[in-house]
Amino acid sequence: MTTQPDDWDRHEGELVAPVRAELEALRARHRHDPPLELLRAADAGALPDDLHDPVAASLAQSAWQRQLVEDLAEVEPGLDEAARARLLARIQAEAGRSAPASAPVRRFPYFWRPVLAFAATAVIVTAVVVRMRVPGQQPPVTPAGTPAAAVDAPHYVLTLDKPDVKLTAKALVRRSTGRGANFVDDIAPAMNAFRAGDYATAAREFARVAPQYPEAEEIPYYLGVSRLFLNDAPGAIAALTSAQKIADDTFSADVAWYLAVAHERAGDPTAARTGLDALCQGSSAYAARACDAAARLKG
Amino acid sequence: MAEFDAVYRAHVQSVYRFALRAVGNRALAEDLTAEAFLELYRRRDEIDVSRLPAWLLTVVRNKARDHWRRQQVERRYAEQEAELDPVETPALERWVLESADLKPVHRTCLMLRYVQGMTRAEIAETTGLTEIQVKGHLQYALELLRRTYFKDGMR
Repeated sequence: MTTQPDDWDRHEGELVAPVRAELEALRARHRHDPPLELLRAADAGALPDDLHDPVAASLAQSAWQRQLVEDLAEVEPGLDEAARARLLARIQAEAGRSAPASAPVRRFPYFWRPVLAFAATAVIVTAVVVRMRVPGQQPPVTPAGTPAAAVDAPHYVLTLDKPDVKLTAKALVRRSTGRGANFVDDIAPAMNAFRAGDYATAAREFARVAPQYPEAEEIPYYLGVSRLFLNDAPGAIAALTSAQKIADDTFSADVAWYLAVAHERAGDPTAARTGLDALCQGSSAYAARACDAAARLKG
Repeated sequence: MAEFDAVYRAHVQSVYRFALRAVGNRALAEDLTAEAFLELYRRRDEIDVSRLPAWLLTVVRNKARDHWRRQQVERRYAEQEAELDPVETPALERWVLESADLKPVHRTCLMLRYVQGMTRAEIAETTGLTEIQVKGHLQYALELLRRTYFKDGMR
């Protein structure tokens, strides 16, 4: 995986020339970083224990590595309609092959009837989308479609409650980098959608304005909470972790609480407990709830 | 679990995204996603939907750990010196991390190209972008670098 000079065209070579030595130095500085796939796996808690510790330690020490992992999670598209339909067909085929002989015969066709209907619909929709898509454009990334309420939460220790909408004092004077636009006006569509409980729109709008306001903790915080309501716990963790890095006193406890909620929903109660223990020792409005929830998670 | 289709639609995207982070490979991430939902199907009488998607993510996480064990990456990584150079963060690194005009997609392409040393095709494979998009994002990032890095006196 080495960039050879002949992989660069002339224009790229000209643009790189003034900083070529610095780029080489940067590359040398990071030559011993853990491989990218290990960094990402460590961030997801998906490495075996003996490998997790050194990679996670490296990740914790390096803002560069963390930024790369976060950005990549932001950039990667999810499954498009065609892939979802293909995957569903594959699950269906595998389930058919592995169905135990003793399984009730009537149940299987009944169970898969709506699934097949969905797969057929997905294929048709895909055909239409493919015909309409502009060449070279990425397929749209759509969040999980079913409202959270349909499958959410009575068994989670940490309940998912909608937070009050608030802004930091800085928000009133914050302006977009390079555009001079007003922050409160720019986030109004996202905030209005969030207030109305339209989390898909809210998540989309917060993600849209995020690059314009990299210092605004409100955006990754409400983006993370929106993703929680969309059942996207890993996405919520990514956003809330970003919020945690920049949050001041206005939001730090809120961010910590919802990050714990996200960790539990992502199947990582240990991470949830760690966050709750810290909240429990503080004096925020979440302290009592966090102590109680941490104790119940341990139980 | 008669609402399997709704469960699938509700969670497949987040399960796949998590799998992609966990193993860093699209085809393998699809495999793990399929295996997790298949496991859910097989145990549909035992699993309460209110435990989703955490249960699915746990299945993926465990399968990803098995994958990494099989890869025997421990030895490969252990052979490397993993310490970061302790000198002060270079100006160019600070610019890449802090430039407000550099969106995640531009920064990712820049990091993968010039620090990870990937070809455009490898970046496209890693990010899910097309090679033409990668080229465009790199060009934007480099032009922004030329315009602002020297002008802002970060060097």
